[in-house]
Amino acid sequence: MIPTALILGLREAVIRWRTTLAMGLALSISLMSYLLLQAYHQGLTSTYEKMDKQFLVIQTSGSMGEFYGSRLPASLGQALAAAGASLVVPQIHTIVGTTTENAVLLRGISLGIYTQVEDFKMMEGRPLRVGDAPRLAMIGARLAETRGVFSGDTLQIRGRDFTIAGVFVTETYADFEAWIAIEDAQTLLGWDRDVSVFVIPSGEGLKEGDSLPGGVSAVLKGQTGVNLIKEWEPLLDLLAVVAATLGIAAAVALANMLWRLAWLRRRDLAVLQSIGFGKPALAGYLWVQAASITAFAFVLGLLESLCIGAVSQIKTAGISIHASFEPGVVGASLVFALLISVASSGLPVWWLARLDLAARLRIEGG
Amino acid sequence: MLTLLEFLWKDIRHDWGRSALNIFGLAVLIFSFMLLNALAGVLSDLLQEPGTSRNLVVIQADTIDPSDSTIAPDVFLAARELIPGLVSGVSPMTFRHTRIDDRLVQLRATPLEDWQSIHHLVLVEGTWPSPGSLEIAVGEGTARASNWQVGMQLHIYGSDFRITGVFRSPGINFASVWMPQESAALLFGEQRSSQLMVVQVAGMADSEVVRQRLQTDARLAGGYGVYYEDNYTRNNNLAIRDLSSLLTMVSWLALLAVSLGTYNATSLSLIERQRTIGILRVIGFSPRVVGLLLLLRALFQGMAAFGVGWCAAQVYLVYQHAQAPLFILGVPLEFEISWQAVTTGFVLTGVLVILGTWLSTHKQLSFSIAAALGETQ
Repeated sequence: MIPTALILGLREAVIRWRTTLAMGLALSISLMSYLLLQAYHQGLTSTYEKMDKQFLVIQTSGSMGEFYGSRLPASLGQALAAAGASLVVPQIHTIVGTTTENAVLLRGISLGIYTQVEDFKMMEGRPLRVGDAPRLAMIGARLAETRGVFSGDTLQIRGRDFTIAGVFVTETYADFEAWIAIEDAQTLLGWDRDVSVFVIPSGEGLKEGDSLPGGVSAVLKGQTGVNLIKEWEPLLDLLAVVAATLGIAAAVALANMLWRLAWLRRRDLAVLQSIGFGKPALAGYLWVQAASITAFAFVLGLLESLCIGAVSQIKTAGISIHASFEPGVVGASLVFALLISVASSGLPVWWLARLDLAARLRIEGG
Repeated sequence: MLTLLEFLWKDIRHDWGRSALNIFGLAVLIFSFMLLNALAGVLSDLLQEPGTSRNLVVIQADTIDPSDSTIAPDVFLAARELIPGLVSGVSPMTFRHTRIDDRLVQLRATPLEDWQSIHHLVLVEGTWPSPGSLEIAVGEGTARASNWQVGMQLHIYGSDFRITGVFRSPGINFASVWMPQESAALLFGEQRSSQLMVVQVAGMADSEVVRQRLQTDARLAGGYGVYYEDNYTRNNNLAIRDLSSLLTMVSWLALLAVSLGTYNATSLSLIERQRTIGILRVIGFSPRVVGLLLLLRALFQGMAAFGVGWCAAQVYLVYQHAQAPLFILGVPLEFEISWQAVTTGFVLTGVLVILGTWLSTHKQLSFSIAAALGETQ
């Protein structure tokens, strides 16, 4: 009985194709909102949320040291070593450029030791090494893609040409960065011997949250990225309220439509029930209509969100927050769509099952 | 017409359950439109804020974030040489982004005497901080959103500062924490004491001439950029501009769904009431009048939904302001629904309802009376 009920339900959706189409279009806007929200959230977390508890970053207190805004004297490195840190890796982090459109996230690295604290894979070319000539850079994959450059090409940083030795990938915001020798960075920025941060192993003299004299503090490596996500969270929460409300409204509208279509067929359905169609078949009849509309809306919503995601990157200086349509995001949205279809068909099924069968069979002319 | 309206009112009352469901569905779309549009609007306004447009900002070239910039002493000299003819004031500014109370804020420090004359800060509560003390003033936007009050202590760069005053200011300054430059020097040391130089163009002078003069001065050329203060703020808030565009796009899509919702509600109504409509036609109602009846019914529901959605959005905003003020990238956003959004939303809701009704009725009302009366469900 259930397969027949499903076929009848699908047939009803096809017969009422105009209503189905309009409902699908309306529902696709709810699903698009949900998908976009999930995709931007995923894009944000996959790019910025990479905590590394093995290392601490020593930076100016309260700064976004792993992006910009921290500046420390080189002498602090010796003090950290004296305090028990077995490894002290100075780094420079800043953003250079004349406008936010051409900005580059710049990282100055200590060529001898940077590989001990940074995890990356070379996509092409080679990494920077001790003994390299000045004005060499290795750049992240996203920066290479944005600028259309490869190893052997040159990249202008602060008006100077740097030759690209290689392109790396980290799957984090570092993919937007250009890495150059720390000495090159100090010369380029006119920082003398100053650095932005020191990276040291956790638990060697200092622990997370410790403060040092002069407004310096220790945070976990990756904390800056987590703090940046926190800045976006209130907005994402607000958008989640909008997406959830749209989802509820979509479920109510779909339930209303299914109920009204079922009401039009109440006599036909009563006849079917009288020859053995049970409640599961009735549920299947309504659910398949909800599911077909939701499936259509989901595909449409996915296409809409892919289009909007492609044209609407949120760009900040040197980096961009993109919508990331990973399988998890699409899967979560599919579950959301499934919930809408189940919720919207549940109420009409319950309602219809409560109607008096004999009274429905007596309806004239069906 | 009165008969028609009376008939309409009776019909809605008779079918109140379905009308309520239709109104709810449309109201949610209006609610979403109002919230998203209000948020996009406040972000856009933030970039349009006129600020102190006669001020110029000098920052180290190729520096995107001011906290990484350093202004050399001879740059100040170059600007001060233009006083009094072209320039009426030069203000060095220490600038940092810092986390206070687990919130990212801009920390600015300039000589106290420049706060009102050059930066146009207006004290709205308390007193200005004393130079060289552990005292600060906070912008009213940040104060309100963070629930900071005069007399409270805030931990900044390892020291406890007391809020002595709350100020109002143009541009994005309302979202920052200010301290006298002497206090900043004690906190950060004398090195790198100025990240920005703010130049106030004299009243009668042409600001573009002053900008060009400074930009081409040998002491600045190549090493520094000279910008209008409001342009500088705008250019550095690309993320806000992108976000505003994205929210605007989604808000219009949400509103577009009003048309689809109306189409569905009217189509279903037509299917269900085919026989009733047939009877109306028999007693003299023309297809045009029946169409008008359905349109008025849809308009009533659309306008009721608009009222409900608007009220719900207002209530949500009151809750949001009271319970969880919205900050984006350190800027507190007290967004509200503008009359422009209400008017535009109202007109568009009406247009979309008319469109949805027309799409559903223009063909379906052309069926014959016999066919309509043959349908009994």
